[in-house]
Amino acid sequence: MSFEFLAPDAASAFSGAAPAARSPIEWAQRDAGAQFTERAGWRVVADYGELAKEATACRETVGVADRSHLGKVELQGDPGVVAAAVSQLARGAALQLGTATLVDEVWWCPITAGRVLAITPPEATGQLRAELEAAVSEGPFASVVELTAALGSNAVVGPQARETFARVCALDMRPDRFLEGAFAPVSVARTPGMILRERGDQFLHLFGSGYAQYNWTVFVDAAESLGGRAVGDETLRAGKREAAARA
Amino acid sequence: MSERLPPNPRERINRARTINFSFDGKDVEAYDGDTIGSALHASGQKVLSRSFKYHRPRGLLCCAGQCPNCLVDVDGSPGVRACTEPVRAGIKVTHMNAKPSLDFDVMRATDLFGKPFTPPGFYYKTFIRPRRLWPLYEKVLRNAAGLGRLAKRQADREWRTEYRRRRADVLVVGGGVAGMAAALRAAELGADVVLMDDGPELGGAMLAGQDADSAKELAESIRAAGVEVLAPAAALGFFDGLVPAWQGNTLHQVRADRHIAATGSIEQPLIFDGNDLPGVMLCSGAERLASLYGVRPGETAVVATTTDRGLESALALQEAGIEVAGVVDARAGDGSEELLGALAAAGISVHRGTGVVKAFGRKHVRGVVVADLDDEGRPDPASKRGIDCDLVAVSGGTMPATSLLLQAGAKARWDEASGSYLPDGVPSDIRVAGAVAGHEPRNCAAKSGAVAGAEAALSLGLGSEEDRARLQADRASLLRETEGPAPAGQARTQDAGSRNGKCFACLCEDVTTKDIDYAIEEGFDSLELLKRYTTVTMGPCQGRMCQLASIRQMSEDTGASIEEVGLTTARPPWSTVPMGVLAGRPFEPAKRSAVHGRHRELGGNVMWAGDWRRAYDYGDVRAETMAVHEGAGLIDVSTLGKLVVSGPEAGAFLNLLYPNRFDNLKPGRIRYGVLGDDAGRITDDGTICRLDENSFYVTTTSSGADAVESWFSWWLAEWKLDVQLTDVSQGLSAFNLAGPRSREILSGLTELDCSNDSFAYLDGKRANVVGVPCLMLRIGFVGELGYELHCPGPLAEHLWDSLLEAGAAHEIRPFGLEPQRILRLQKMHILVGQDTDAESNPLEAAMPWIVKFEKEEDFIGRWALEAVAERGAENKLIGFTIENGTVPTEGAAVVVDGQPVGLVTSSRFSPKLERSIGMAWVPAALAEDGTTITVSDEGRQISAAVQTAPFYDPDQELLRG
Repeated sequence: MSFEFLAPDAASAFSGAAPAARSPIEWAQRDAGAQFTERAGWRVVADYGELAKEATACRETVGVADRSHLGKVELQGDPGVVAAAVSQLARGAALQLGTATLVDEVWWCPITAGRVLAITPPEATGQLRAELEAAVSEGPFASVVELTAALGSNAVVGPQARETFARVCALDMRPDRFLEGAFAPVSVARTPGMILRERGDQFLHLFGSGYAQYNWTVFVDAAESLGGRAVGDETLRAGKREAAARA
Repeated sequence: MSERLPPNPRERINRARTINFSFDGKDVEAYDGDTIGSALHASGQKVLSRSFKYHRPRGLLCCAGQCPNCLVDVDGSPGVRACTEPVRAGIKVTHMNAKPSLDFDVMRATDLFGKPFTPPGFYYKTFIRPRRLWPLYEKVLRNAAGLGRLAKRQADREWRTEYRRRRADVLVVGGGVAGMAAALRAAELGADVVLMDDGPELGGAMLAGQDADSAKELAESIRAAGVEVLAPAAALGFFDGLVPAWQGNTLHQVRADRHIAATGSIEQPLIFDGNDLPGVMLCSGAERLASLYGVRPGETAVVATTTDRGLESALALQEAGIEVAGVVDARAGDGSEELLGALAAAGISVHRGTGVVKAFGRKHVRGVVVADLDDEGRPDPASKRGIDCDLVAVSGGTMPATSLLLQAGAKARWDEASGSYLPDGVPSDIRVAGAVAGHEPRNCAAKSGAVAGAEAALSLGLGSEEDRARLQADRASLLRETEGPAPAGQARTQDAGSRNGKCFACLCEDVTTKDIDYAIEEGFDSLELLKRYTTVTMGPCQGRMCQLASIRQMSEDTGASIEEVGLTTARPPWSTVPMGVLAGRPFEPAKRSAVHGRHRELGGNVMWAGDWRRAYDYGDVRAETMAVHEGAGLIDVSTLGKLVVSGPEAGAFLNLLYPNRFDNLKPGRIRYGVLGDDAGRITDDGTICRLDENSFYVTTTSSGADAVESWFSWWLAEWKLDVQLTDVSQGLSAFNLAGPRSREILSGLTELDCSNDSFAYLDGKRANVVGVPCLMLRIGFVGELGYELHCPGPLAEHLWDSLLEAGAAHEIRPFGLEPQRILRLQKMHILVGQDTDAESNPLEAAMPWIVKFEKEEDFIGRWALEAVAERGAENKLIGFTIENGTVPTEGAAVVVDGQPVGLVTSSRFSPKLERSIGMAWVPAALAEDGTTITVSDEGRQISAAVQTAPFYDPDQELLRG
């Protein structure tokens, strides 16, 4: 039931290569000196020309990275149908409100008992959507809606990440209260949003993509006041590799 | 630096490092660690401000940020307390509220000669005749009063402020010994603790005394225990568990599960003639100045007191190197024998049963007149004698700082034994510790804090049985230490001295004891009325220095007990705070289209449209409008609300929401829909495209998207249909390609057959355009052949660029909101909220065809619309034309015989039609083609001809072609 006109990955070639998907704030990133790279059909900010400083920010203060290219697919239906579909695709995972579950690089984020947002690396968006559609194709109706374009997302990373959120959000994000995997729909900078604690000091903030430029400005400004800065995808990937190595 | 004392181990200053700043243009040398107040006092500048009303000279009083006496302007920011503001190199400090200078203030005349004209409420009495002059009086009074001036330029008034939210298990307010002990104990038991204090350094009263080192050790302990210390951070209030605190440019908003109030107590001044002269200081203020900053508060001191606190202070001042000419103790027989012995040993004479009657001097104290007091505290004139001094250190007892507790819902109880109001009925999630609880002695305060900290932590489920047992033991011990009679000297704290001359009860607002007497005589005999009439307790000190004094005086004047007089309502803010801090960082959430950057590059004039930023035009409204008629135009309509409604009962769901049918809409077809409420009133409109058997794509107005989504969700929950709803408004960009050449442009960019036979009016097709997956809606809001292309936002820039590039050969132009408004008006397509209001229904809004009463099922607003149909339309929405080109103002009245009967909702000049067109609500009788109506617009009477069919392409030939 998913509709291709909602899916950036449904782009096709027309007198040349297929058009690349762009972040809703690419024009602002260009102004900030971003260097772009292509990833799974997306133009993604690799860095802002200062990789070392970006890494330092994530390690010592806070870095803010645009991750609008992450795939987001919503499954909605009867709670039993949703639970069964998620269980089938997430190796038996049972969802619990307030907590997201990471299976095979897909975050399963329950918004309500009958509504789940799946967040995936951009390479896997189409496959995940297809698998979800297949999982609910039989039995009671459930809708699978592609939301990659509808939701912008920023990663906020570093020891001052919580302090950055504290400037714009009233959520209790203390480490012992907002555990790894915690997921909460919440107002951020006076706009509707969702926050996922991916690991340690790394958080993912999701919001309506119309607010992408606003949220980017707000977060980078808050981060800079704490000594942080905007960072690119390369820095995040390096951090992920380091975390994996440590683990 | 001439007034510096020899170094002492408690001082905060670094004498090896000097800092320079300016005061009223003169260079001042300070030590690192000085406050502006201590540095100025050390430099010999004893007068720091002029008072609010009488412009009397004022100098340091409390040295703790409690009183109004040292307010100055620092680098353009008025209302800064010099006594607590640290010196920074190069700052420009200026006085406030004095002209032409602090030394010579012409407004001092109000003090010397103005008294008969300035009783309480004088602005309601003296300056009311003749009434026409009140605006002048008001201007003069406002100019004469006030405590500072803001910078004139907006840029000079702006500074970055922001909120910081903090959750905690336990919040401790107050960083004295009790607060620190509480924080330490709670943290030891595993609680996440925040402690806030308004001073720059934890320790409170301990810092200026012999226990300064232990205060510093305790402060280190709590930091080591993981307590987050916010200092200097003044708590502003208590709002249902949220405690905001101002620190620099940050407003901390701390929400904790448990609160501990360790707010201490406030030393009270004494009331006598001249009690506001520079040189009259609180005992604690004089001690702080000497101890923390090494500044000599005076050469020769007289200490006036009603408690043992003054006796202690006299010893401390003498030890610091200040000659104490005598202690004037209002008590005849009370007092600690130990302290009296120490004073005698130090050679300090104590005048028992004596009070200060007057402090004299012009701009600074030169001496005091003292007199013996009778049993009721009245001075005996025959016993008056003078004592030369340049410092009067006063202590009128202490008042527990209960304000935050009262804001939190606690009550205050008058405690005769301690002569103060103590907290009572404290809410269960709040603990009270230290002096504010009446646990004043330092060892007692520390235990009181530890008990409160343990109680708070244990009530959260932290700690062990052993900790509970320890708490029981500590409680018992604390009880023993606080039982029995109050410490000697605490029992009697009434003010000493007479009320002759100018005896100030309220230093902030220049309210004298005579003013209070006068107000009470006038009938303002309740404390709340007295407060409002005289403004006592309403100034920057928020009652710290004056509330107890005014209560006592009212009690004496009215014969009511102090308990009966009661306290005034405690309201935030408890501490002064700049408005900019309360405002916080400005957030202005704005939605932007995925091609917003392109609009900027194309020269779009961007404006607000609901919560979106949109291009109003690209600089040439006429050319943009005509391009749509003659070639092609492209407008970004991504702001439209977009919902995916899916499920087996989706059609039935829409049938119930809209007055027309949707379950019979064929997949791939589009139908217009008007949403209404229970009363049949129009709330939104848009198009609905059926995507497949189970799914519909619903568009809404730009500003109505959130409301429609909520409306749908609400009814879905009510009806419990098998339907799912997803808002994709912000994910999909939408561009309207319109104009006679739009088909030609589009055909070159897609493999879809765009011919009219294959892609007809009101068809919805899904196909890739320049490789971008699109939902293409053949609709025509602007009245020409057109296609609305909906695509994923991340691919929108490519689509936008490609359309403009391909359209260049067809004279395509991007067009903005204003040309769109002209184009849609030509078609009489309504704008909900502009052409409709809270009373408009589709039957009267020229859309009776959309209401399908023949539908079997009910729909929202059916009953109301049936009632309208039965009674007939009273008003109708019509179009009108004006031949002479006059464009009436939107909102102008339609009149009959000079009486308003309707109004113009939209009006524009149409470059295509070359005449003015508009829409208006008129009585149904006037809604006939050719009828002439009169529009009254700002004095002009404009004739217009009614037209009920669209002005442009009334038969829809262009749209369907």
